Amino acid sequence: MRAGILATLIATGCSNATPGAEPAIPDTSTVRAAPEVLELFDERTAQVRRAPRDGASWLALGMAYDSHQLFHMAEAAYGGAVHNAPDEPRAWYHLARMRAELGLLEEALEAMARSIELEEDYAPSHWRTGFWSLDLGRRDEAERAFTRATELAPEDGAGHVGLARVALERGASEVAVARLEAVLERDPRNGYARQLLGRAYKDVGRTEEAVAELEMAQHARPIWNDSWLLEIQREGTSLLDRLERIRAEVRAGRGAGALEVLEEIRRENPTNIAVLSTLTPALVQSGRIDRAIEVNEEALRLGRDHTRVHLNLALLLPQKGAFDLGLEHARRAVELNPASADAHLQHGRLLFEAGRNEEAAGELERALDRGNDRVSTHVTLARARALAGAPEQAARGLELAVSSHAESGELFAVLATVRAELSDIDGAWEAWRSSSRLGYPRSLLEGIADRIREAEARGRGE
Amino acid sequence: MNARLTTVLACAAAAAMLSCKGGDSPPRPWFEEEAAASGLDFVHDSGHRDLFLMPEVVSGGAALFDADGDGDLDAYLVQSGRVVDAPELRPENRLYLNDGSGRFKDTTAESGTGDRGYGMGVACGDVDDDGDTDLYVTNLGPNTLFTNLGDARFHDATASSGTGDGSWGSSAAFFDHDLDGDLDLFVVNYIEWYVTAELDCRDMMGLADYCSPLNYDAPAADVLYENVGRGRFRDVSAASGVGSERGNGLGVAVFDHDDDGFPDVFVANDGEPDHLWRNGGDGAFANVALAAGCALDHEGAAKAGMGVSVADVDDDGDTDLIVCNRNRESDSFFVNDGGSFRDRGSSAGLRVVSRSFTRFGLGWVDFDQDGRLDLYEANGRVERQSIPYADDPFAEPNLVLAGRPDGTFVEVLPRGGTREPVSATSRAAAFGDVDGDGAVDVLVVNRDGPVHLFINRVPDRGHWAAFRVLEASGRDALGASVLASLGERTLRRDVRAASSYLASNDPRVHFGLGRARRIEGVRVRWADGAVERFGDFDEGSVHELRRGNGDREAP
Repeated sequence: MRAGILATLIATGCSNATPGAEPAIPDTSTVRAAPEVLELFDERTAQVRRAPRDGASWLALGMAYDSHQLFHMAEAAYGGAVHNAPDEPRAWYHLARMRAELGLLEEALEAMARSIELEEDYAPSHWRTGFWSLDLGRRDEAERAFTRATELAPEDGAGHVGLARVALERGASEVAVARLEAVLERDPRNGYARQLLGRAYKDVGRTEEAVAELEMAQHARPIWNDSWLLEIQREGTSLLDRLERIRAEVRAGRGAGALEVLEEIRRENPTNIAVLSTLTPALVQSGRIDRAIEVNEEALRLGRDHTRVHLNLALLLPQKGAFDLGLEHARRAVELNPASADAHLQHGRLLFEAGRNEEAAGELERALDRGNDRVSTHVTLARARALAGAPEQAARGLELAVSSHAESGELFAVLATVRAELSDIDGAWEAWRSSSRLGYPRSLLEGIADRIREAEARGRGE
Repeated sequence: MNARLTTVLACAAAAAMLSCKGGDSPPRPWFEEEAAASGLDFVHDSGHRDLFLMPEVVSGGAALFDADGDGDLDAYLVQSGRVVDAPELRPENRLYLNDGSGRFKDTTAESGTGDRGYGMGVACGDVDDDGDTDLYVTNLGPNTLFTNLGDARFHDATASSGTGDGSWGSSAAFFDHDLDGDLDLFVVNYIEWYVTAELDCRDMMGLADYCSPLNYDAPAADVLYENVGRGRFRDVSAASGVGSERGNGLGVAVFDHDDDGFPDVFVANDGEPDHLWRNGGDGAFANVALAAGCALDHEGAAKAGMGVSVADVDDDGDTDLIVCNRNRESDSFFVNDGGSFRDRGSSAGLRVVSRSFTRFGLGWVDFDQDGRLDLYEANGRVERQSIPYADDPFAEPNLVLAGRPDGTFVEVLPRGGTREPVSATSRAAAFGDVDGDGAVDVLVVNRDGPVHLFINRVPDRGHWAAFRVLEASGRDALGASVLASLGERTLRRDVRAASSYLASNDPRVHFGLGRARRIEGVRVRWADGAVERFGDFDEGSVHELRRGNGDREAP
């Protein structure tokens, strides 16, 4: 029966495309979703039933569907919004977005044109028009739209990136390079611009630079400044949405404020790994390590014998003096998931602290092999190798590490120390100078300089 | 789904496609689904019960190959079962022999091919050069090599061959990487996954669902086995460099991207940059995907690479590449220009239509035999849909796109090419002429559902000619290219079994000829670069081209 709903929605979605058609409320009775999501749909649907001529109610209903990626239903509800409030630019804007999601680009452009008529100075309407026009192969239209976006929001990268894409499609790669370099000068974190720049470099034969840019940006996703879209994202009520919002709070250093909500979510999901992974750092951030240990131990008692739970405990317990227990949890984390770089890293760190240097080096190597290419991992590994009587290996590892972390004063400092131990005095001073140039703390550098001088003196037989 | 609803759905889908502007007379279907009628009663079982274990959502492989040497295509279907069960409790893979007319009989028990690993994909090739085709099955856990004893009975040669890689294998391909005359083996691995480390993931609606591979952050390294003769292989992953980079690998295709005479390997990675392993000819491989322009899409983004297909789509003599991806990500259609790729998905008309679906199996095939390659995409979600197409919340219809002379593609309606809409959670799609009528059919494995056999019924098909291209020993000459003139065009079609997703395809080379009745100036460029001229051939037959029987061209 559910298949029929989709068919009806596709059909009604089309019929709602014109303001003249009477909108119908999409039937959510067979949508499968968590109770909190269904509650939101029911609430918004009831609102529309109470005021079927109220465009704002339809818009709110559309936003609820939209935020949960029910594009057909959202398109139908936004259709109801434009029917009842034809002068509301947001409704036309979101209707356009939904049509684009459904692959109806021509219809999306029609709706967006109406939104622009009603509110000409909202830049995202223009760059979205540009990107859809490009998808339809209409470069001139796209160029006009992107140009207008840059006029309205010159600091926002979207319009400039769009113009670079037009240039790339026209084969004017040098123009694209210039535009994208300018965007990145203003906003070096714009991964999308970096990706396109990589492609543009490739087109103009700057292959090495192309590969470097693409390597840097290969996991980047476009991030657009679109305040109307942000309103939709705030609507999400699923566990995923709620956790994502809380994570953003924790990342911003506001973990304590999110604790109450998180604890409530945990009561409903006491063994959920995603919840524990969010709650644990939030508790740590607010200094409640005992509570963090408690919730993870409870998850274990409830049968969640999972890598992440053990890893949380391996991080937390040593802070409360239970080092051996922490080490055991780290070992169990590795046992449960040998693919986890984090598990190998934590196990390696604790082994190092326990003075089991050879085992620690092995674990840290496994962490590196699985992609944990952090400076701190290299540093601990080098120390473990040196203490395990393999300073040559430590030096070789550090020499490789500095090639990919050339900005790390700490790595050069450790390299200087290891080279001094190996009586490579020139090499030690060279690494020391690099470390100094990179701003490594003077007080620490002085100590390293003393060790190099001692090694120098030993070499002279003093 | 009842007939009325399916009709409504078909009309709605068509209406959506045509942007609600209505259409002319109803289009005529290209395929009829005839699995049950043909005797293929295989039902895939992913093992999904209550937990959401990652392997369940990507398994389901298929091969079309000649198991018994009678000249027609037999079917091998890879089964999965419950991840947590012991192998002896799992259902087995199945081999069906074709009687030549497209009717199949299950001969698994007699054949000895009933592997009970948690099955993923399959590769076919004559590893011992004895003239019959052997099977390599990838599993979650140790893979299995079955060597063909010549009469559709097989021997498990995994241990003696040394090919039982124990990772999570996905697609695999036989090819002669060192051009020494025997087939080596490339095995793609997906992620390092442990049931004890499975995660809790939720969908947008707050319900439990499968995770993204990126959640595990545990990409795996692929494996290259070198055939050292006498049925033995040596793992050269580390020495060759193939083991030096990890990825969430799913699809694979082998082709000489830079036309330097050595076969390269493309691997589609799920959520990570794809790999293109350039064969240096000295045993060393280097991943050149970023520099060659096929690691990322036209905007520089890494997509969820699933299936792969390669062919000379634009008739310029080199091999182009398509990688299909998940919903909200368009196909990446990498057009080859002298060894460097440009993603032309958008201008070829593939961007908008493809991104509504999660595509797995795919292939460039000239279904209507007009001389232009068409595209088939077998679809099915990796997360449950809130408003599903069918009772199976992962199910989606497949897509067929017709190639046009201007290099663009247009969707064939009714959607999926069948009169009644067919929605399933499709994974492997294997391509080949199952019923011997000269037209290419499609075998599709569906997660937790019966297999589909789409028999080609394209109305008013053009003429055709096909070639079985063999080495002197009688093995399929994987890696060879057939070049032929069709009017002013020179068509190139390659002898290739491994492509699509978890699949092995008919290695015979198929040409659609349109109105032409003769194909002229057929030449074969063998994998080692030698070229032989075989002359002209009439339409309507499968011709054998054996190495040594043509006129050798001077290098």
